[in-house]
Amino acid sequence: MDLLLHLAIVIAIYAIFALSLNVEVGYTGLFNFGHVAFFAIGAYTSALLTLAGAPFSLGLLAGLAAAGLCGYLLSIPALKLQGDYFGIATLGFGEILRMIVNNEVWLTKGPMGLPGIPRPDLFGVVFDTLPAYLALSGVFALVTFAILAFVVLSPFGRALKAVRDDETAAEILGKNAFRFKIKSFVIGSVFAGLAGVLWAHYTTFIGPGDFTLTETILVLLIVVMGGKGTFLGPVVGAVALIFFQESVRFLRLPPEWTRLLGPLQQMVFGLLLVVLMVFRPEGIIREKGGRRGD
Amino acid sequence: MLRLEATDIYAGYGKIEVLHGASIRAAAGEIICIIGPNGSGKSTLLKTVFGLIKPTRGTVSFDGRDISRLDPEQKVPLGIAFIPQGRNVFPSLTVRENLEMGGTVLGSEKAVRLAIEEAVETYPLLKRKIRDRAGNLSGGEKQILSLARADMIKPGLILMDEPSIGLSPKMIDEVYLKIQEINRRGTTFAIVEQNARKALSIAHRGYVLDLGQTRLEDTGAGLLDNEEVKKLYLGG
Repeated sequence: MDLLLHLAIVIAIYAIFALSLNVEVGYTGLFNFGHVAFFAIGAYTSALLTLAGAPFSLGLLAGLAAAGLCGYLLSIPALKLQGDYFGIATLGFGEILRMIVNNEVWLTKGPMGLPGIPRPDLFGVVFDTLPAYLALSGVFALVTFAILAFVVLSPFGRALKAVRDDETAAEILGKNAFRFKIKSFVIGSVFAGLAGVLWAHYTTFIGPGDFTLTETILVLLIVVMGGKGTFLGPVVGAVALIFFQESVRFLRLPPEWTRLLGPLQQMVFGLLLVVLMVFRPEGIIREKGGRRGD
Repeated sequence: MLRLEATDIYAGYGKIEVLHGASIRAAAGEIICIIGPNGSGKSTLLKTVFGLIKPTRGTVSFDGRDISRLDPEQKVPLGIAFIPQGRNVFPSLTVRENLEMGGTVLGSEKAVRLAIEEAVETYPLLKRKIRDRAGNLSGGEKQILSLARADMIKPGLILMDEPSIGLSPKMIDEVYLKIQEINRRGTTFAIVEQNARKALSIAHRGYVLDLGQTRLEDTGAGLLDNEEVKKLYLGG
């Protein structure tokens, strides 16, 4: 039972993380390979503040603000780059941030990580049991889903898709594509920060090892597999992939097999991705009017 | 006062200068056509007028106002629309959403709705396909859609780059009929065209551009009859 609750909590957090990336990758066509950086910024900001005695609500808001602000500051130079080059710039940012976390020991305690992050305390309720934490992250996931669905259904969301489809054509109609991309990036960063905050207060320990490129790849996989540019795609993808990833850990296998499990899991991910790209490149859920495999 | 006046334009891409003193002008309600060989700077001239490229020298004015240094997003609200070459509709959006994108500078949702209603009356073809994704339209339908989308704001000036490219002769006729129809309502057109014969036949005036400069200027019919133009661009 605890295992199921744990799975559900991780799925809710990753659903938020994937939904945030979907705004950028799915709706705006921005391939962000450093998305984990904003997850980390949210996690560290809230963890450091609450460890210093600040209430959870302040840590949460500061985590969102810090992620959004960093997203804004990164997006201005990075979005001047096109396509692949933008991807490389974000990849670089993700790695730089991890290096900072690893090396600025005075602030982040470096590789030692931050233990003992308090469980959230909101309106006098402490979310220190698994069911309570599930309720909290579930509510945040629903709110994220609702807000982002509202955003992408609005004229603003339509403009994002237009920018994704044809940037020049969007500019021709009087849209400033650059500004729309910045907004999309900031929205994505803020919600990645939210996922990070929830993650930090759930595991109660964070370290640089939690925020590697592997996490970005996992969340990209969730979005692409689930169906980018759709509401439900990232949620379905999070359920499928997290369930798969976490459940493998609890298989009862002979001890001599367990050392193979880690690499095997990566291989199965790779295989899944190849199979999906061949047979269903648009993901589990298909975007209406989306181009196949594009 | 002229609707469009581009005088002595120098412009290009980075260090490569393409236009070396090109000039065009169009009165309100005119259709002008710009022809010339490949690489003569026709498309560059349209992009410069629209503001996608800024001229290094020379001025562009619209209804007497200097707009040389404005960005496209500032020019669209003034009533200048640009239809670039080839497919430029948003494939994953529906026909209706494409039209909505065209009407963004109209401001209110109601104005956009009214403009769409008017557009589907003017372009019955779009009415049947209003819910279809624009990516599934034929080449000709896409061209009609981009014309209708530019027409959403009832612009004073439409700049059009190669409207006939990749279209069947029948579809070309249809597109040009629509251009004339919009023009009769008072919209000025500046059309760049490889299909010089077709464009000149409906243009009030035409320009021949060569090596980034305006070589000739005459009425559409005059250019069609011009021996030099015939030999060089129309193919005898």
